[in-house]
Amino acid sequence: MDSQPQSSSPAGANSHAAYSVNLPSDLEYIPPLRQFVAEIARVEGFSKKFCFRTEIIVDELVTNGILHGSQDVHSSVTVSAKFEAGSMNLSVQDQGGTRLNLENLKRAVYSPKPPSSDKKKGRGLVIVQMLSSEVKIDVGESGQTQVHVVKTKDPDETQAQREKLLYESDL
Amino acid sequence: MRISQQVSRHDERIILLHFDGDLNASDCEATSKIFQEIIDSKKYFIVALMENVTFVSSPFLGELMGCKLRLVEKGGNMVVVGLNYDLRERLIQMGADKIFQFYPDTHTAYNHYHWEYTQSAQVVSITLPPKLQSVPAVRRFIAGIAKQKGYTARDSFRIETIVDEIANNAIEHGDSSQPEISVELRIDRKKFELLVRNKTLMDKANQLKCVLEANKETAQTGDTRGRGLALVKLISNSINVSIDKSGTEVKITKMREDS
Repeated sequence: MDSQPQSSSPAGANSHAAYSVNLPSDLEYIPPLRQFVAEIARVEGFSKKFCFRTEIIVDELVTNGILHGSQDVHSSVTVSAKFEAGSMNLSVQDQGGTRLNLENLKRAVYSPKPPSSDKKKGRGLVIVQMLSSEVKIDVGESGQTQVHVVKTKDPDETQAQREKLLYESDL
Repeated sequence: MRISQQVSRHDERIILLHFDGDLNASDCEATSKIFQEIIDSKKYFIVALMENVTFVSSPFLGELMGCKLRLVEKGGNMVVVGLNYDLRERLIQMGADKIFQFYPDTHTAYNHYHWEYTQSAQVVSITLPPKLQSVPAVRRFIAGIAKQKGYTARDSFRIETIVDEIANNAIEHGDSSQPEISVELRIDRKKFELLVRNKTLMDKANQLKCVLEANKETAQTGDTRGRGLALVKLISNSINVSIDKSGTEVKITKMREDS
C-alpha cells in the first residue's frame, strides 16, 4: 500500500474541523479526555495558552455532566468540538439530571456569582465563564442537557501569532 | 455514632451503609452485628458512606477490615465513599488505603463495582476528520484510557501502536471524500477491542483484506513502508476486516496481559 496521504495539508488549515467523543459516565475518563481536546486544539492551530484553558473548561464541564447530569452508571456524556479559523465551539451533552441540578446549572451560567469563601464547591462554572467568550445551555426534548461554549482567540494572541509569522518569514 | 442501611436503588446486590459522627471502639460490637446480618442476607457488596463521619478509631478500623475480609471471602467487597480530606489523610497514615478503596462519591464506587464484578465493557466512540495530524492525539487518548483503567504500561504502549497504525491506514487509504472516520473502543477488565470505520474504495479495501489474510509481510526487503499491519498482527490477538457498501471496518482484539 503505497498511495499518497489523503490529508497532507498543514495542521490548522481546515476551515471547519469537527471532532466528537462519546464516553461512559465515569470520572476516570476525564484526564485523558481533557488532554485529547487540548491536543486537537493545538493541532487545529491554537496557542498553548488557548489549549491549556480549553483543558480546564473540558475538565469542569465533563465533571459536572458526569456528577450532576449522567448519573446513571450506564449512561454517557458526549463532547463535541468544532474548530473554525479563530474560534472553537465546544459542547458537552449529558443525559439530564434532576430539575434542581438543571436550575443550579442555569443559575450558575446565566447569573453567575462566586460562592462565599466558606463554600468548597461552585467555582468551576465561574472559571468556565471567565475563560470563554460565550456559554449557553440547551435542554433537549428528552431532557438531555447540552452546555455550549464558544471560545475565540484572544486579540493579542492573534496579533502575536501574526508577528511571529512575519518574523519567521523575515528569517 | 449513628448507622443506617439501605439497599442501593442502582443494584440490589449493593448495600449502602451510612455512618454518622465519631466511630469509636464502643461502636464495634453493634457494627459487627449489622455486618453479620448483611452477610447472612447474602448481600456481599457494601458501600460505606462516610461523608458525615468525624473520627475513626483504630479498633473501629479493625472492625471494618474484618468485615471486608469476610465479604472478600464470599466474593464481595466493601469500599469507602465520601471521606473528608483530613480523615482520609489520617486513614492513609494508618495504612487503610492498602485495604480499602476510597472514592469521592457513590457514582465512582458503582463504576468500580461494574468494572470489577459485572465484567461489562465500557465503550468510547470518537469521530474525527480524516486528518493525519489528529492521529497522535487519538492514539494518546486511547492509550491514556487503558492506563487509567489499570492496563500495564506495556499494554498501553501496544494499544497506542495499534491505534496509530489502524487510524493512519484508515485516513491514508480511505476515500479522499470521506467526511470523517470513526474509532470505537470497547474496554473491559480482560480485553480491549478497537473498531475503526472509514469509507474506502473497493479495490483498496480488498487489498487490505488480502494483506491480512496472507499472514505474511507484504513489504519487500527494500521497501521502507508496509510493515504496520504485520506488526499489529504480532501484538494483537485477532484482526477482522469487514467490507460493505457503507465502508470498511477493521476490528482488533487484544487481551490484557495480566488478566
